[in-house]
Amino acid sequence: MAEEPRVGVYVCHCGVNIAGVVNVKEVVEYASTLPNVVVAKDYPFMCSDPGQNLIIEDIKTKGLNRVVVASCSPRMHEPTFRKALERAGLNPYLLEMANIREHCSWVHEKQPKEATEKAKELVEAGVAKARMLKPIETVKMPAVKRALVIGGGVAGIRAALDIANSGFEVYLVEKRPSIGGNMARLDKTFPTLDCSQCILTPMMVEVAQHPNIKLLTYSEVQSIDGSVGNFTVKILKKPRYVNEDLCTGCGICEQKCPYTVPSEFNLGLGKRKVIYFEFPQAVPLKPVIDRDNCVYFKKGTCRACEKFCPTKAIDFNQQPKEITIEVGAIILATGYGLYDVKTKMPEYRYGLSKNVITGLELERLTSATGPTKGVILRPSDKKEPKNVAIILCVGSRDEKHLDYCCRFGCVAGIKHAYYIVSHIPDAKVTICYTDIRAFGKGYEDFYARIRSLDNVQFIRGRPMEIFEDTNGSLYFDVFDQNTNRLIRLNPDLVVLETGVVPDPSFEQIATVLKCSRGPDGFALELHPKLRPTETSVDGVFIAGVVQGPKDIPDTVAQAGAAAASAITLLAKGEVESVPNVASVNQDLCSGCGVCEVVCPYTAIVMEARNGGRVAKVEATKCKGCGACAAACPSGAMTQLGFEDKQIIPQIDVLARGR
Amino acid sequence: MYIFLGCTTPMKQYAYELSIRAVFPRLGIEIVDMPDSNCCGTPLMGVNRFYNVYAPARLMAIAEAGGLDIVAPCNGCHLALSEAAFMLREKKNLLEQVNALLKEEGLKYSGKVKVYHPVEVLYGLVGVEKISSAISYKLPPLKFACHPGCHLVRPSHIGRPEKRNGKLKLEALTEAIGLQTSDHPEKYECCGAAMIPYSTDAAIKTVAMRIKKFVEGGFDGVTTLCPYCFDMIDGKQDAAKTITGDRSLSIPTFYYTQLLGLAMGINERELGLNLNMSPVGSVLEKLRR
Repeated sequence: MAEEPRVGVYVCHCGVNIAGVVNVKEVVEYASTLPNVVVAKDYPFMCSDPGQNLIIEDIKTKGLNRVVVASCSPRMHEPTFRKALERAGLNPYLLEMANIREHCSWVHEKQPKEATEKAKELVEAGVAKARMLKPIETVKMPAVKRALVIGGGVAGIRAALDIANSGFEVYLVEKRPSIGGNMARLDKTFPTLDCSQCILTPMMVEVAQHPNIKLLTYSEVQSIDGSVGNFTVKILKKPRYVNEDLCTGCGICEQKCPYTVPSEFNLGLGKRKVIYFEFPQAVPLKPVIDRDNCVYFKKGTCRACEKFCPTKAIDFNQQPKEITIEVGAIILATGYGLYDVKTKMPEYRYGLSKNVITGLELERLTSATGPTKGVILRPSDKKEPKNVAIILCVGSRDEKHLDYCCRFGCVAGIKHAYYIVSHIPDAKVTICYTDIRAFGKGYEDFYARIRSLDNVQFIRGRPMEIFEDTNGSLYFDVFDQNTNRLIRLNPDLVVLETGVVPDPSFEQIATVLKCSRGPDGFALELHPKLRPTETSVDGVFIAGVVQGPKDIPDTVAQAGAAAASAITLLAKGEVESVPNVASVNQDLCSGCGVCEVVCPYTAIVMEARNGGRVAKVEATKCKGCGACAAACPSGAMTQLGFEDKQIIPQIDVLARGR
Repeated sequence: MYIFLGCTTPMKQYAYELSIRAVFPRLGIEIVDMPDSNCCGTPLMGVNRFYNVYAPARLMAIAEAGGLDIVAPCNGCHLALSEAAFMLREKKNLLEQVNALLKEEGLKYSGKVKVYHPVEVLYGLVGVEKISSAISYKLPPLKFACHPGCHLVRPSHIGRPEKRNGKLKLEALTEAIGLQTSDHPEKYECCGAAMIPYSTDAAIKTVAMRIKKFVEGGFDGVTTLCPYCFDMIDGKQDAAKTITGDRSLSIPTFYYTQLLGLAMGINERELGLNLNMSPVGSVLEKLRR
């Protein structure tokens, strides 16, 4: 190395966090004796403005070219001190952190003497590495100023609108024929009881009309390549068999279609035609032909829709279309599905007894656009139920099923009790609950209001098993923990507030993106408190239940935050590579390909060279995890900032022993 | 295979033992009495978790030494043996502890022995088709309720002979000999036997609820393959009438092996049909050829 290292060591007290255990003065004294150390100092809070200025001053006046900060974990303040070096005109990667807080004072609280010795060693190891550090230059790449939102529920709609309103183009992809998601299925929203569609559909229309939003419904994401700032996404647009440009949405085709099948939107409770709109307020208001059930596709006859269409929009020859788009940021808003209580919890008889339904099904039975036009009729005999049992936490908070809370079941159940007693005043409702978690704004008031009703009873207890008697009536026993009594109920309708799982489509998307998922399958946020909209993949953000169960207010808030994160990236217009990327010496590379296999980010490709093949690192994809450098059998792969000649002196110090 | 009878069957459910001994050999299942056996371990469950596993492990080790599998006619014994096998598979150090103790007797548990319940022997090893062809006449299509008993189904995570979804093996077997079966609401519920030592009153009230559903459902009879369930449903009908005051609580109750034996033309005393305590007479009249 041409330039002689001039190292400055800065030992932080962190108030009493470090200085309360470690003898800081002794560490400074020791550090000043180490080779190449020009200056060693301590300060109560090195991360504070005066602390940073101390370092900057010394770099300028004492000609330091390496800095060791002995303080907290690099995860905490490495970026802070790197910026300080940059401000002093030094390459920010000529910094080494010695963690004497988490790795020393916090864990050796009761052994101050030994802790001081350990701190000295950690500082010495830091100096040993710092002497060998080299400047690292990062690469800046332009970012595509366009975003993709996957999922057209309320989260995706809100996120797409926010991005579009800030002036950036955004693609919104939805797999169903209409946007709206699960929220479009709800009749009312708690606790204010506004009509769900009345607050949602204006936003849906805004999406359709927004000049910056390109809406791709009935479309699925096939593949995602590239990395932050430059994703290439392939989307498959399924054929509607309706020319969307010619169709005016008049609905004559739907009227004339002679065949009906169970409606997916109504969760199988009502019928729809084979050419159909998902629901009357669908956006876009274009019908779709269900190819599997269409008589023309099965037998070659009928064509009623085609005959009656006034604009000749029916096109039986439409083919699936693959669309490739380039985007800089992606927001995942794939939403949720319900826990499969039918196969996982046969004791609750869902799917076995017609009068056992889910909360979402009750929403459809209550909705004016639902199969019963807003009259609550029980499925078995289309009679008004007079005695309804609502069971909370079905599959949730249960170690045999989902161990987490669904976060909206309680208040949804309370709202469902309101549906019943407001539609059928002489009906009686019993809510079987575990705990009532009415934590949101205004929820407690709503709970108190419903709890005070004479015909709504709350029982604290989970029923074990629902029985269907030989005459078809339902009954079950529940142990009321509040009164210590076993209570028998004979409801004529049972509503299950079922647990919530990630939408099945998320698994495939998470796999192609290599986006981390938690043990329950939901997307893992980068930090549970401070970075709730970011994922393990740069440029990929999350909004709504894809991250974990949440109600509508939280979903919309997170969607706005995810949009802001994406906008920040797009507005900046460029992305910077991480500094600690892998780097390959192609002269040493034998082309074995081990690095390609171990790389979790597909950042290594094998390329042809001199008749053989060698590894090549795509710096923008590399996250600097170091797996390839550790795996390389020929020493060709190194990770910048963690080169062998840098970390071996560091290890030598720590392994020396005393 | 070895037959491990446990305590309840030889102490007070001779009809079950008799009918198994009568039916199994005629279907090609040779049964040998288990030598030197001990308690299945169930009563130790809440007392000592180790001996709760050691006791059934010893039984399986004895079978392993004899080179035969086990049939355990009691639901409780079958569960104790299966659960021990499950735990010994899951927990390595438990296996070592158990084997250390077994070594004193020159025994070893390695998990080779299969443990069958009669419903698995009849449905899985013999098969519904062979049973249909082995009977000498089809029983008349009387409507029977099949009561599997809780431990035939639960706890599901260790793998049990019967599953909750769809038709029971016991129902398929019952239909194979000509009888009709029909769903009944409390099919998977407790017979009350587990509560007998603690609250006889609660136990009798529990079985009374089960019997009431059989009567309301219009069943001609009930069949089970659990000595505890049978003891409750067959043997506690008078007690149920007394405690609840409901005189209608009466239902003819049979072991499935008794019904099968009848259809195979086996002598009624050999099947222990004189030992049933419920009023089986009139149904038996119809079941006879």
